[in-house]
Amino acid sequence: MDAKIRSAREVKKLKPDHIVCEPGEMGAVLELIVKKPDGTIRERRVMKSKSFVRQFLDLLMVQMGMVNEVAYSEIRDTGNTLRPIAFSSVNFAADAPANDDSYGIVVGTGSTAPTIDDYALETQIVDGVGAGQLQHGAVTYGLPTASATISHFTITRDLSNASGGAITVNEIALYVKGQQAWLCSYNDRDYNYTMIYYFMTIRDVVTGGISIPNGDTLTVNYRIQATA
Amino acid sequence: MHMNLTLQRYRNGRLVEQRRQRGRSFVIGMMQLLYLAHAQIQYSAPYTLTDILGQDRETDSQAYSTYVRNYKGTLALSVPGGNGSIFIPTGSVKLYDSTHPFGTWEPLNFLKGDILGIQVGADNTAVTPSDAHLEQKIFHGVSAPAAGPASFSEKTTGDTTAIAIDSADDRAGCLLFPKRGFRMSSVKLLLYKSGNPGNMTLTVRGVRHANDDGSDWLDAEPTANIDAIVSNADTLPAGAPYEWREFTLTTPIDMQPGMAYAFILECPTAAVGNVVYWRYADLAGSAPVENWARFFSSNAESSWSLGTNYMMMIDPQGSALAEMEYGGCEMFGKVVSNPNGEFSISRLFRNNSGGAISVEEVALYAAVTRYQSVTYNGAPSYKEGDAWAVCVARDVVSPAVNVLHGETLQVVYTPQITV
Repeated sequence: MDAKIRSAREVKKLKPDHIVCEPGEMGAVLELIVKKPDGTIRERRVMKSKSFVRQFLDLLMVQMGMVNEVAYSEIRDTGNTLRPIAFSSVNFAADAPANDDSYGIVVGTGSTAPTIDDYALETQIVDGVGAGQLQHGAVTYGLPTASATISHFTITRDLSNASGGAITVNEIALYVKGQQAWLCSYNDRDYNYTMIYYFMTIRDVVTGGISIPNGDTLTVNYRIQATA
Repeated sequence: MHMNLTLQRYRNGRLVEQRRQRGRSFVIGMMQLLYLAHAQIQYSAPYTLTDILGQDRETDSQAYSTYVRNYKGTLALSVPGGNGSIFIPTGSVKLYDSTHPFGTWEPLNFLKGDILGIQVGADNTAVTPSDAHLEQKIFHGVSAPAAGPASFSEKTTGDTTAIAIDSADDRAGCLLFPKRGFRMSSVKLLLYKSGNPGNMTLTVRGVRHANDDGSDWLDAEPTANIDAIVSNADTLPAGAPYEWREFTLTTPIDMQPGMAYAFILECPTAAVGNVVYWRYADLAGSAPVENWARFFSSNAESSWSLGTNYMMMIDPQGSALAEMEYGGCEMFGKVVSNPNGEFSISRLFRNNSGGAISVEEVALYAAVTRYQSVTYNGAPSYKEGDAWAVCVARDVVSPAVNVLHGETLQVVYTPQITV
């Protein structure tokens, strides 16, 4: 006699709150929302980020140790070049304006699993309205808050598809700024504005990718959180 | 990212106890400092957070960047030991001004070694994400415990005159850098009155560099209240021998040496003939006191004057734990090998207090700063900014580690990421 097995149907609304880090862990929750042109949600996914890569540790040590320009740290930038980096107000900046895909939340089509040594997206989707391109909105922030068990803040970016065709996003990352170590002199004063480089601190691969039809918008929320 | 916590106790150079535990660890302060850095908060729209004194502070990510690199010490925690100091860059610069030819007043931005880095404490209250400091810090030093009520950093003799509070707009007070860490439960002021001035209020506050660029060179002002206590001035004596009026705090305050506190007295119903007087020693012509100054405002805190020639009569009361000597807080041991990466933060604590000390909590304090830019005579002028400390991690040690006199405790935090 055949045994009939049927699983119970269950529909759950997943929110970032339900994806939590372990007690004592600091990590990130990644929420992806695809919205139709009328603003309604086409698809929503929530996943725990695979988390920080080595550049996060590198920049954290530079700031915690006030590593200065005469004893700088070398950190690999998104162009695969080691850069001399010193402590700065600019380090970790991810406040990218609209249409700037050099930093902030960025996306790509690569699907190779993350490793700690990753320094850039495998294949970045650049800003624009051409084929395979997404328009990048300005990065925005949710303020830090704390509940009984979790403290967190959120980094958000909208990416709109005006390319004419569907685009599948397979990888998400966070790029931040770092300031080069340099000894300033009066004659060199104009160079300070070009001494900024970009470093990847988080990279995630989306299993199976997430499709953004033409005209739709992908909202990416990285919620950086710590669980007590 | 996890935080592993290791505690090692040494006697005569030999390891006698070792503990390893997974830290519970990161609290909202870590989120706030990362938010400041990622969002690049500007001075004109600051972000308010709570520092280790329990004081709300306006903070930002801004730094001056013309002719200089963007020096700003946010997240700094690698510091010298105990009474050593580290200058925390705030991103501000002091421009030469012919009206203010003297140097800047930097005591506020030199943070003593035990204010940042790994900390130890004596309370095992469970960790919550909103923790802003240790429950009860074990301060740096070699002193034995002092049971309460005892006087700390008091100035109780030598008074020669008094300052009058005879208006609702008047504020009289003193700035204090505590010499020893202690838990303050009350404050006594040497007071008298004339007439019936009514209720008076003593507020305990933090301090920051003043925004007012024209009122004085010493350049500090009280900030928001940590506590406020009301007392009836009508019951004060009308003259000598005066009264040491006690103001009992709502909640005891752990007073951190090296940080500045303000004690401000006001009387909303004071007027000519109904006056509160606070005794002080006029030191004009004498050397100023090393860690005291007098605050005064006559315009309801629109501006403040700060004078080091006036020693207010004040007697902070409380109790103190035994102390441990804080070594330097160092970082080392970065290892990255896929899928793991880590580095370690370590500090030694030596018990020379004469008795055993029970360590029940540990924490990690990091720097946060405020940029400062003001307009003076219509032109941009730049000031020192401020540097404070924020708790970024806290853990309960259970069971407590009992460190005997002569022993050394090493505390190591190891942040570790795994992809």
